[in-house]
Amino acid sequence: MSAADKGASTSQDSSSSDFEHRIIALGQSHPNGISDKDMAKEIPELPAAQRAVIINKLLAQGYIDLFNQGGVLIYKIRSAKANVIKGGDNEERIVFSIIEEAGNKGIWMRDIRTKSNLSANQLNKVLKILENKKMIKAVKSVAASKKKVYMLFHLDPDSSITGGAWYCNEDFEAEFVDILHQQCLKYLKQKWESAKEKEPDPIAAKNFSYASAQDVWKYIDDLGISKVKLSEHDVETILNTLVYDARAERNVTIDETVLFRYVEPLLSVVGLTQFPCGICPVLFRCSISGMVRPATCTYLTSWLQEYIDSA
Amino acid sequence: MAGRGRGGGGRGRGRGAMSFNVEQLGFGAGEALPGPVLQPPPLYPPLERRPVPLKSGSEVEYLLALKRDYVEFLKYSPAYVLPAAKVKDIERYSDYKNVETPNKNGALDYDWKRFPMELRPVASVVKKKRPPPPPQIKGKSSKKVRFAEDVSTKLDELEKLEEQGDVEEKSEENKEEEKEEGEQQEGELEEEEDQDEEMDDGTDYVNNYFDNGESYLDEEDDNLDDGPVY
Amino acid sequence: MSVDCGILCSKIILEHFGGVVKTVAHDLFKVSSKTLSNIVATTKLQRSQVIECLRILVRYGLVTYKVSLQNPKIPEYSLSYEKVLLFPRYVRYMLLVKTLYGDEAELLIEELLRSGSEKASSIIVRATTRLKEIKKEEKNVSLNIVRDKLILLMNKQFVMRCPEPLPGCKEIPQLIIKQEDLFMSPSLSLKELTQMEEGHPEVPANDVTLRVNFDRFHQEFRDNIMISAIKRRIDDNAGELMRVILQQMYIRTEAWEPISNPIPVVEIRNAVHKVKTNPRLAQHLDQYLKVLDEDSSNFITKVADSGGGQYVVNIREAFIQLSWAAVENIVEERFGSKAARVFRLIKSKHFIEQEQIQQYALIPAKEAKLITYRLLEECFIQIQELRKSMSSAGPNKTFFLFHIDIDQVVKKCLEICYKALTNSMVRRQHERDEHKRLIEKQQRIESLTANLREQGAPADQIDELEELLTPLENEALERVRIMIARLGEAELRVDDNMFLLQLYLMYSNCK
Repeated sequence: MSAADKGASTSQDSSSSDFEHRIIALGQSHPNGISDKDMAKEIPELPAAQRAVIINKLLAQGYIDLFNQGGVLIYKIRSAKANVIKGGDNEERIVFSIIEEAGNKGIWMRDIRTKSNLSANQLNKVLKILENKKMIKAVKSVAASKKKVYMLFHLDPDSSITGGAWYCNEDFEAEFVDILHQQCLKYLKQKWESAKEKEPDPIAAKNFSYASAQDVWKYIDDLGISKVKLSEHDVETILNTLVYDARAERNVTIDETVLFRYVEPLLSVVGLTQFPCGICPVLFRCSISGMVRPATCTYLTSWLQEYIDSA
Repeated sequence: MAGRGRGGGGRGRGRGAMSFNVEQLGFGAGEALPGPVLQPPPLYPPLERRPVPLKSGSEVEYLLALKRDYVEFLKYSPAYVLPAAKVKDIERYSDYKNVETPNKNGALDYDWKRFPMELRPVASVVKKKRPPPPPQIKGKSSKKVRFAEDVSTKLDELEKLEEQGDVEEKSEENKEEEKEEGEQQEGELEEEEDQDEEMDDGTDYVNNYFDNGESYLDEEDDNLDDGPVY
Repeated sequence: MSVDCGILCSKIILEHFGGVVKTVAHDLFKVSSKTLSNIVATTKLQRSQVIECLRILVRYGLVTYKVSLQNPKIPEYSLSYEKVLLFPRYVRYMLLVKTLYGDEAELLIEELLRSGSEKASSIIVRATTRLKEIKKEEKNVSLNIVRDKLILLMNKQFVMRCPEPLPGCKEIPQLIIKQEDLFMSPSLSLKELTQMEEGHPEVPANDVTLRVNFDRFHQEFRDNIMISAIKRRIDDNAGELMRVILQQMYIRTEAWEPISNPIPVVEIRNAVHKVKTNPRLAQHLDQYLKVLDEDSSNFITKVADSGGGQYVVNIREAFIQLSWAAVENIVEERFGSKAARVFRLIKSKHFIEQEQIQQYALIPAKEAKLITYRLLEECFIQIQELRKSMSSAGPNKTFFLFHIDIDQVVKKCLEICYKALTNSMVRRQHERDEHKRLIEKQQRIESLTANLREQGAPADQIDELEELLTPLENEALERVRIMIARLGEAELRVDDNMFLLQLYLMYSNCK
């Protein structure tokens, strides 16, 4: 999910910190340590010189330890707790472990305060210290704008915080989502229509109208409308919204492939929606002789006028 | 939803984060409130969406025509009951009996055995339609009206008691008595007014089942004080 | 019965039977039953008038009576409000039989609905008379044909006998009919009918009182809804298959069962092959059955493989699905498409938190909150609190979960329907009243011109008469006509909607 790392607000050169995180992530996934060769293999785009700089930096900050295993240099992720215990005092340790516990979902300051029982001022000071030490960072949450959550420095914020592919700088990219939504719908509907046309027998028609998330993802990718690299999972999220719009249905095959298919709703129009009262926002205030009443209702008047005009 | 309760005030905790967008309020921190709103909010706020358009067709037109015909038919049929004339200067004979209120298009014909007795007309009435009687002498009619009203109000009270379930059967019995009384008076009235008519005078059928509440018109003066017995 | 329902019933009765009957009916809404005297007392009408109203209401099947619990000598009357609500649907009944069985059938049903309940002979004679007026030139209108059509309608159960009073003259008749007699058509000879037509007062010997069997019509409507849904969902052939399956269903199953008894494939196949107009269906029958079976709509399910396979029709399930679709549609038009998405999301997850909504629905947080607030405000969704920790110390560990109570929502939508229908009727009356003089003027002119035409008056006389209406007046009349027509149409559509929701409540109550 590396493409989703958008919400991190570090002050460093973004690509450098990007690599830092990747190295750390790599190290975390190999608790027995990683070598230069491993890093070169996993992150080929990182030039050796820059890699060396980063490794030194991480060593200095105490993120990694250096070991010598049979002549090969091995780097192991060091539990960051040790760092705190080295430099900080009790309060810092408590706050740090609270934040660590929150993982990559982060935790709001208010909640830290409740858990730590520190006063606002004290907590502010501690947070500033930890931030300066680059042990924690603040990330803006898309769930509630203007609210920040704190998490460990090297972690990738969870997509529930950053919003994932749909957020650009904490702004929900509604238009972008809508376009993708339309395109996915178009793809599925076309598949359904052509299946009906070409296949005489109903089972074949049905089967041909199915598309996997991967199929749709490839289509979207080929369209090239997305500046951001979308994952298959992202596309699946969009397809799910089509299901919630009752335009598509979802099926999972025996081998766990997820398939989607365009569907027509069981009912197209329903009588109540064809009359203003069905969509009226002041219906609860309406009565035969009230201030809002059918004899003088302006919604009814303009509704009737439309039909008079179009006749 | 969690987190809306306490942090909403932004009272110096943290960074004054509020759970709603401040701009929606229409003013910011430190600014004066906006000027007074001079109008009440609109009765009919502008609609965001239109209703889905109707797709009329020949089927709809036909259905509407059917409906027009149906309603019109009923309107001119005896099933459409017209309100009685409210001001009555002359007491009409038709008020006392279950005469069909003269509607248009003839009377509805009913299969009377399917109806409870009390809804059926008096046997004799079914055969003929009576013309309204000649007007009463004025004095007598006003007295009758007065009597009728007295008794009507007493009847109302009686029926309210009935609803409360008090003295249920007793009042029923008394009503029956009164009805019988009424029949006899009513029989006399008929004799007075319409001696030309063939009439069942006081047959049991009429006495027991005629239950028009307006029939207590000819109680003799002596009985005025008695009234219904509770 | 709710207030809005009561108001609607009042309006319906007012339109059809006038203010006096409405007063009596309205008096009966508020109670389960009432005696005649009580009605007179509260309505302050004359007793004779109340009696007349009750007669009419009983005749039209809107009021029933039974022996009063307090006094066995007098009856108590109750209003059948569901019957009152059927009036807007009457024209649909007429159109249905016209489509199925022709004009004679339509007129028979129309005459029956006009009278509420009526003797078979009267119906036949009246319908024939009207037909003869309408189809002046055509010769093939006769009592014979009309009578046979009535027999057909009874065989098909669209018309039924009224219950008859038990013999013995009682004050409060008890009306009974045996199941096997319900649809037995009376034997009326042509001679008897001709005599009646000519005005002889003698009543035919075997005459019976008839009324419309509303449930039978509703069954047709119900089936048509299911067939249309399948047509839209899969294709026309599948729709036809659904129709055939439903027809086969009735052989073994009562019309209003929630699930049918199993229907063997063999029967379905035979029936399809009989209807020769659909070769593609016959060719791919097995496949269509499979597709229908697997479709998420769940209208039919395969229950056994024996004998080639057996299927059941899940009518109750079908109408649960259809009602959801209807309600989702209403949410979409009332609150917007994003709101509909949220609604369906909550439906699919059953219980879901606010934060998850914006995540799954891909809607910005602010908008999602506004939507859930509005849906909550109008009771389309509900909140369930779930405490995580029992201690109230510490931050609020209470989950707020959204969920949908579909029964509540359907009832709520039904209430909106009642109100919409009432409003349309009120507005229709209002427009008519506003232009009353003009409408009356037009009617007078129309009847005068009709007379002139019949008398063969010259064209310029007729034109002169018509010119009494100025162009401006004609425009105004046209406007009124359009308004009344659209309002009337809206009433038809809203009633369709009501029908669907009522079906759901009926099926959801019968577990």
